[in-house]
Amino acid sequence: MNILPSNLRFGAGQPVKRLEDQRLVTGRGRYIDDKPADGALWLVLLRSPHAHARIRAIDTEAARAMPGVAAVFTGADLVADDIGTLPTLAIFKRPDGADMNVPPRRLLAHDVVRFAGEAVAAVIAPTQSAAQAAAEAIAVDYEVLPSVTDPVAAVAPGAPVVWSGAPDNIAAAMNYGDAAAVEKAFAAAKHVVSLDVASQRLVPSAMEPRSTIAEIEKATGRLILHVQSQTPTSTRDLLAEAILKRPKESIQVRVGDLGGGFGQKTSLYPEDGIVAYAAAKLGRKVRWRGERTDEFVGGTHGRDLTSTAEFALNEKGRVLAFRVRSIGGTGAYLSGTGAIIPLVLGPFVATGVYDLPLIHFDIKAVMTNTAPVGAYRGAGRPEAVFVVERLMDAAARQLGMDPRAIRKVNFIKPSQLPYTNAAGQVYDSGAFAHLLDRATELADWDGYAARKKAAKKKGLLYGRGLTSYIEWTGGRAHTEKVSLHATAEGRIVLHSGTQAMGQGLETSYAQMISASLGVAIDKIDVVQGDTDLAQGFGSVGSRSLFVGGTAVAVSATDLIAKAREKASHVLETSVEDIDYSDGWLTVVGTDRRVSLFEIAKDEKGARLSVDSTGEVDGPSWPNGVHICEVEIDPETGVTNVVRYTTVDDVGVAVNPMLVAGQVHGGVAQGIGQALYEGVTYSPEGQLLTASYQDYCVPRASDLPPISVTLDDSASCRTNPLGAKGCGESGAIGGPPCIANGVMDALSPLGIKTINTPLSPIKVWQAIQNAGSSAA
Amino acid sequence: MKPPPFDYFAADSIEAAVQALADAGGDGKIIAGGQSLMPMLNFRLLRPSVLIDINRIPDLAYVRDDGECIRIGPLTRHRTLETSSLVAEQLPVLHEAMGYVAHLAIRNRGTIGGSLSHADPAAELPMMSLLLDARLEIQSLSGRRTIDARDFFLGALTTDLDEGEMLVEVRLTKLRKGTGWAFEEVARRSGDFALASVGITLSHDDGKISNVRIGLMGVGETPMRATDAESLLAGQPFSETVVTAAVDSIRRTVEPNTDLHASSDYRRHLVGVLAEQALSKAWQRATQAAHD
Repeated sequence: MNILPSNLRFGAGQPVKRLEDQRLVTGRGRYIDDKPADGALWLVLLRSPHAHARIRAIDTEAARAMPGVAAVFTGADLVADDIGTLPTLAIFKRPDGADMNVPPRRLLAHDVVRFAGEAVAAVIAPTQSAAQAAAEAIAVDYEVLPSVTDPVAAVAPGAPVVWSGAPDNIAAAMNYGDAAAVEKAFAAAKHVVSLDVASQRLVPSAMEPRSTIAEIEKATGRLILHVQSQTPTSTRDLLAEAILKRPKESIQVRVGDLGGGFGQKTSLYPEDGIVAYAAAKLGRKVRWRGERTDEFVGGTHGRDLTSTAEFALNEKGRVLAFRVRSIGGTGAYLSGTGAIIPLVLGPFVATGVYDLPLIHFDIKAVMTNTAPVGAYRGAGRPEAVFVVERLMDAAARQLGMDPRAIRKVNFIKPSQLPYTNAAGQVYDSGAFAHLLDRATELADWDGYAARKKAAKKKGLLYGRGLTSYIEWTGGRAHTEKVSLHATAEGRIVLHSGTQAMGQGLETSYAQMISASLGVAIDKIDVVQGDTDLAQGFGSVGSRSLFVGGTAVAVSATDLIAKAREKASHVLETSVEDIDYSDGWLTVVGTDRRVSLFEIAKDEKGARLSVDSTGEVDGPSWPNGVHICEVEIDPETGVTNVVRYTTVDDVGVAVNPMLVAGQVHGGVAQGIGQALYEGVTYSPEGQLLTASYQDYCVPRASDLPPISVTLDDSASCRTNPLGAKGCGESGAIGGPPCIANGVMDALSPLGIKTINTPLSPIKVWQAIQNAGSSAA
Repeated sequence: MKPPPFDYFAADSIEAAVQALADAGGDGKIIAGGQSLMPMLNFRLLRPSVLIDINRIPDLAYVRDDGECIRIGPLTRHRTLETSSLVAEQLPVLHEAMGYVAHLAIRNRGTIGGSLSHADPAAELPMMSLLLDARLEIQSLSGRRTIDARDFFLGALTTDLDEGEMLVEVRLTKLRKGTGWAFEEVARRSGDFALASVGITLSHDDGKISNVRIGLMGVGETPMRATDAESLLAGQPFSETVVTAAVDSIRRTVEPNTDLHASSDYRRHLVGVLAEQALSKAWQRATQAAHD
């Protein structure tokens, strides 16, 4: 871990307004689709209408003969050209101990299609409509095969097989803990609480659908890929090494503004690869514009984890053992994160903020004939926290305990920190009971009874949900490199390999640089999304601020050190006698000084530059408490979230307003998951929720006011900023909080659980069923 | 996906528009606000040969007081109806319903003519046209005709409009002074098409229910009037018994669809719940008016 001077701790974080917004909200953002036409050819994909089929033949003759069509590519063309496949991170084992065995993820299907929406052919023509018309003229002869879309059904004996290398559809499996000891604890326990829960499959809904442009730079022959990527460097490396098999230096990835990512825009998509291939093959600029439908059917989906979870407890509510059996759907192909999300990232936080040493987790990653699952805000942690938090509330109800009390009995105590959880992860800091107390107060816990009474008077059911969440952040990438430049024109320029996608990184970084260099914030340029300027792991796993920001802080220190060194020559004195303040280097005790920017004039390229590396000791563990209150109309089944309060420990917040915005957005998505959103495939494998008419992302008017309070009484100990990643936590605390609230409201009717999304019809149906079983 | 190729014709008069419709021989589509048509084109669910744009035809967007009725031009935007003081005063139930029409961006563009011609069974304006005894003025090359809203909606997305015809005016009957009204709707999200919805107008006539009209939507292939329930209520004192009888009648007569968001049973139940709430609200308003 880097050790920074005390002035770089950013303890007094300011709610600086986003520097990006003036540009973005006045239409001056530069997104890929804003790029001028300039003679680029358009690429349109033909996608499979079938969930599972053998491709007997593809007749492209009519398409090729259509006006202007430059090329039609099929999977066979790519195989012939030795184009590679996308990595599936097949590092795990199957339950029988054999190596993970999954189908190759090709840019275009070859021989077999395994989900409806898989790309089968690419047409390149001078206009998008010409390419589209030609795509419609391609005749594919399919032999439809049996398909399966539900991961639970996929592991049943006799289920259709997605990939012959895994006849049981299990791509990989992991076991954690001591099954025998857990079994023994359950046998002897006073109480056993069991719950079936599922985090349904979701569609990440970034505002900007993906789009890609590839061109060959004439002078150098380098390939420039304009792409929406949260991880520009790994996108470049994958394209170079896995797909096109050329040196990575021969490719430049450029991003520009990015209209949201939520984890979905990581790595490399088949569409990006095929665009790059076509550009290289034809020697022409080629562009692809993803429509919203492309995102629904062809983008990675999120979640899809079905679990049975059990607590063994003693009479005081102390959890003695925790057992979870889970099936995680991966879709037809393993994205780079498809297996690691359910098998590893979830288990990292599966015991939550509780001291639960005795566990047994049995997790299977299961393939189905559906779109691949990848990262979506939280990636594994929301699913795992959903399990433990739903179960904790169910246990409280079954034992007749206050949901706060049962949590307090099981919380990791401050004296236990740093705490190694059952999955071997080390929580460095946290004040879990303290946060619960604060949230209790801020949510007016004691006023609940009166509000419930008032709702009852209106004929409404009323419930309260509580969640104590914790999150693992950092993406297992704990270093980041940046370069920082002072220019002769009087500007400070930062190059970072992290990637802004709406979270406000430009502002946070500029704030940090401004505070540490004493330079006005409007003199600072933050440049991201160009692999020629900066390389790094990118923006995933809420790592940008605490890892990327550490590098920024280090670079400021390095720049000051270098400037003092240079100034000592200019001012002809020893370095120790040079004082840096607000852009000036002064000989201590005199008025002799030189500005940082004057020094830059004599440097190479008229820039004083440093390359710096930030390193943190490990993940950060943001955590917090969410409390909501919901009212349900028993006659219509409609749930309204009427109060929502959070207390979040993100350690030291550089910009509290941006953090609150992150929590708001995450909670909105959490409410989406709990009440509205859910992917539905037909039994034949057609995506039924293929537009926002049927896939219900909540609207602003469906959301309650969200009160966010930040608590930094346990700042992070694994990085010099004391910051914890805050990008995903709202989406982790949100779903169990709402679901617990709804279950609390429904529990007097004897309803134990309903799977999310808790739509009006499901709630109404559960009430009807409860009524008829009571009668 | 984006729209399949089509020709575009900007009409400068109703006559030019219906001429273009006739010329297209059944393959033409009128575009006004485009809020339903454009998505259908983009999904390639429709492939018209020509789009006839009526946005430039003068004097097609208006809300006018015409004594007994309110005359509304077909190009009148939803937002105009929502914010019209004439509508708020004379047709408060429509004013209320307009707030449920999609969301602001759509209300800014969508038109009453488009909504009625599109005839989505879960859209507010078709149901309102039934509730408010709309008379629809229709024009084609062969002249004008007038049709009652109750004869206009033939099925989901199907109306009595012939291929060469264009809706050119909507006349809604003003509510009589003292009319009680209510509009109730449940949708999956704010602004979504209704899972079920009920609109009611009625009067308080010496302690008895009179002039009762009940409009339903989202519970069948077309919006509909609950005429059986209206008969059960007419002339009766307002009571739990008579309301229950009306609600039961409504539940018996509707035949809702099952889709991703709601089952037929749920919609049948829901429309009853909403009808009960709406009847109670409308009666309260009528009673209040009778006492004023």
